[in-house]
Amino acid sequence: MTSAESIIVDGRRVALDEDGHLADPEQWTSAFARALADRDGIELSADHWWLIEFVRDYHETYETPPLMRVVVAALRKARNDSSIGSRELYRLFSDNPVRDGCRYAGLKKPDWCI
Amino acid sequence: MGQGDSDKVIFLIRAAPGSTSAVATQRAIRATSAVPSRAVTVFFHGEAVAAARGPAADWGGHHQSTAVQLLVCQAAWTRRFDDEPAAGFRTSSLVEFWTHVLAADQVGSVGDEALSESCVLRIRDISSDRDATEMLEIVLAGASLEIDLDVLFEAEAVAFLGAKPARKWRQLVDHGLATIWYVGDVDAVDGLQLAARPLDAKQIDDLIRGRILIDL
Repeated sequence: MTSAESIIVDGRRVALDEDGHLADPEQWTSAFARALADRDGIELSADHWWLIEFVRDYHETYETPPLMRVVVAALRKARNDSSIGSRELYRLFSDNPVRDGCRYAGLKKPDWCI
Repeated sequence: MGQGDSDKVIFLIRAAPGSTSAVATQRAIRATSAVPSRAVTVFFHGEAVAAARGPAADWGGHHQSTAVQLLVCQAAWTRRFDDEPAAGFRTSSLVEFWTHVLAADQVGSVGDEALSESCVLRIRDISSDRDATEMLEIVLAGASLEIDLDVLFEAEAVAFLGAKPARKWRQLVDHGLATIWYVGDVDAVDGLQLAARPLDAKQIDDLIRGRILIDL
């Protein structure tokens, strides 16, 4: 994505930054995530919402996004299923689950190279 | 880069070009790369990425040369500069840094044999919040590869453990990504933001023995 866009959320235009993430993270609402999903052609499942909330809580606590291995461990614990791996997360967001989790959670694109 | 059967050596440099530490590392790189059987990789991180605005030859690298591989942390670079690194330098990731560490025969100039997949990252000084964040990113990149990691705070860096930005580091302990140790005055870590463990100075040798030691 090369230029800033916007998205309509509950009838209001909300600005995205040049990376396609919410320009002002303070403006995040669950309606924003639903609007983004409509635009991306995704139906948000309970697992999508779990990931979005996990990424938001993690960022609130540590001010960084979680590592993939941390998300996998947390999902295993939440579902009480030790067979869960990163595959389940890639089924939610096939490109980059943590980065897309940040996008849907209204956080900036992680600027690190991990 | 045909590193074949050569001894692989990697240097991490985080100090700004021209600083005492950077000059000493530069000297060590020159001495190491002068040995024909050694394939040297230098990873520039933190303030050290500014070196990639100057000639690669200063670090033993040359445009189109295979002598010394000069890698620049992409994130650290783009936080500071809008242009591209000079010819002879290549942008890279922290995951690539750790991949080199695990493949190396030697890490840094002190002759640590990198025969382990277990590392101790030693921090003696933190110059700014950004410095702390970029150090944390190195740790997280290693943790993402499930490397066994211990982080040792010493000297001036111990005071950081009581500072607010240290809460970012708490994820290492909370999620089992690394163990954090400190050597120093307990009073200096009042209001500890993370669950660091005290270590007696005499126990440091036990902690680092047989492991890769990386000074951040």
